[in-house]
Amino acid sequence: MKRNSGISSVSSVTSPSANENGLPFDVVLAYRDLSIHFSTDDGVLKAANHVNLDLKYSQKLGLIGESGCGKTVTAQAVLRITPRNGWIEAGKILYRKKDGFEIDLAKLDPRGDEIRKIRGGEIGIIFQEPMTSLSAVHTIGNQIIEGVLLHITNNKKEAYEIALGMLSRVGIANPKQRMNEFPHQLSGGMRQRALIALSLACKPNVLIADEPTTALDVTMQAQILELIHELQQEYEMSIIYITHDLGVIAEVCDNVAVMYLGRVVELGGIKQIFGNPLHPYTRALMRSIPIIGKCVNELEVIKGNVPRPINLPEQCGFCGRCPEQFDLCDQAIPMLSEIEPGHFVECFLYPQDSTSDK
Amino acid sequence: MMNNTKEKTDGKDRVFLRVANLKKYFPIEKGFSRRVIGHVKAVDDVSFDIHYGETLGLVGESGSGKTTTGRCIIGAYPVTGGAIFLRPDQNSNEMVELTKLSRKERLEYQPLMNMIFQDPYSSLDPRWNVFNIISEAMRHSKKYTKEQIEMRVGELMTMVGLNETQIKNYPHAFSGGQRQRIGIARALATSPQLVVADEPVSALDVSIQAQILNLLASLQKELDLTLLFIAHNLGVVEHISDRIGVMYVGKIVELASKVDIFTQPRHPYTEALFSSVLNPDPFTKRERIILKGEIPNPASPPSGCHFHPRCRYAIDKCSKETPVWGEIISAHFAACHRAKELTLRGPL
Repeated sequence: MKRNSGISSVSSVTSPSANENGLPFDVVLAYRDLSIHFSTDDGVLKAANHVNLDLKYSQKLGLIGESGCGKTVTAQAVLRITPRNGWIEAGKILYRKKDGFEIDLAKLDPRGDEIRKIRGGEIGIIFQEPMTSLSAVHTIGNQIIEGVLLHITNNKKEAYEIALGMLSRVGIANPKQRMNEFPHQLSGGMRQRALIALSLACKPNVLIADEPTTALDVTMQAQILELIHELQQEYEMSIIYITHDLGVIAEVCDNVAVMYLGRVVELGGIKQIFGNPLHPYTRALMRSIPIIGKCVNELEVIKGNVPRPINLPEQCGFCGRCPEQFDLCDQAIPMLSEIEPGHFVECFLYPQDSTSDK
Repeated sequence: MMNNTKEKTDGKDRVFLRVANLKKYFPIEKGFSRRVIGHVKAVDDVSFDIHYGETLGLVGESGSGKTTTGRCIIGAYPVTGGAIFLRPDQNSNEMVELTKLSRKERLEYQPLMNMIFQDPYSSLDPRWNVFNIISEAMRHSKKYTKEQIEMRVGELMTMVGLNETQIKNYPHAFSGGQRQRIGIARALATSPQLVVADEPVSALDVSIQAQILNLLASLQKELDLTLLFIAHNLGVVEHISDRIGVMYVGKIVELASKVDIFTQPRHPYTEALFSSVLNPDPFTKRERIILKGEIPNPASPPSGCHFHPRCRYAIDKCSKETPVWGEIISAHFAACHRAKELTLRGPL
């Protein structure tokens, strides 16, 4: 394997839109100015707007935000499984394949052969609901074997062995018996483990974990996060971790992107974001969750709701809910600018740096 | 039966509701003839008191019986065994045994208790407007005139932060947070003393969650409500509760004041549960106790202490004898054979 030649990317983030054409050598997946729109009865819904993100080899990138801020949509776009009423309006999704070639996933035919090789084979995904994302009418074993047969081997016996090994690797007791069982015979935590086995059976380069522990209890969450962490080390994967739980992000990620209303409003290393949050939204989000041991009489509240991204005026999306709003905020959309090395924010409170973003 | 309060005379610490050895078993039926082949012991011998004006938090994993306990108290389920006592009048010592009353007799006390549900999307009837939803209990109680009901609904909507002009709107016109406010207004309609809040914020976004938690806290202060707060998010429970009960497979394993239980838990399950909470703080890494396996099936729980197969302090006795529920130190209850000898760490 030529990837991961000792590159550690723990704390540094490159300017997201530097190097417009092609990927920097240590980046495996990158969004370039990605916009995703949906057609709804009320008009065009702009779910993601000009998203720029880099995912490096072996990096664990967290995407955080409330529901409806575009986290899942950007992740679905990578695998080209955007729901039918949505499309990629503009931008690129650059990906470096296992064989070293770069491709723009946004240009591929979502039903074509090329994306099918990548989907599951090179980029795996774990969905939120372990109940609904496994097929109810196929056995666990057959669902894992299907992917293995598509991507790794043609030999059914070998595929069975791989699937069996994967099941026992993710900590499922009696894997032989479980191979022949259906999802309804497994508990929630077991199903999530089976789903992890399914998405990792083909040893993907990149794993997209879309709220993998949200439906689970805290004790089970701790087990699953531990498992994902171990497997990440073992397979040297890069992970995009989507969640709305700040605790999970702090536990598992190296870098964080805070999304709000389809835009990345803040981006930086985990310690930068938690130690020195810059965007008013990030700060408000952190103060609005009750933390054990930090007794407060009243939680801070972000007033209002996330607006629906339909026909929004050209202004900062947080405008109207922001406690630090001033006259510039409803005039234009701020630019993502680098405040300290590797720490970017999209807010008029900070000097607008015209070189880092268009 | 336990009695975990020093009965004080100032009225504040008096017991409003006493749950004594509550049991709720659900039958497991099999085959065409629906033969009963076993029971799911959803709540098995649970005892606790709820005092006037306090918030009792109930935590535990899914399947531990939190919701069933709440539903038994509210009267949504007939109980299998045990008793629930209620003190209808704060100033008298007389307690009514709710579980002995007939359905009709019980109706008299029903307005004293109400429930807030978890999912604000499925707990409101989409074909009813806000007025109908909030006023349902009042319209049935015959104690209110039409004018009184109309006034009260308007009052409730303002109280929970809704706009009174939306009174004729249907639930689909509201966001998740607003729907939960409607649910709260409905629960408060008959001026209850006790509100059972069953995971009221777990379906909401974090920023909305803070709004609802603050609203509940301020309403409690304003109306002198007693809250039974059921949740699995420990941060939320710690924020709002005065005392906390921890449930595991149908039993309460520990019950104490918030400070006591977070400083020094007395049950190994509590310790492990607290340690698995992820704090949004990347600077301090705590050692985590990761529990092996899963919560056992309440239809066939392990022998002795239900927690012993996953407990790292388990001794021989734990698999044989069921631990006794008792007061370890003053007002701190736990059911563990080794509660007195172990020194467990809490997150505080």
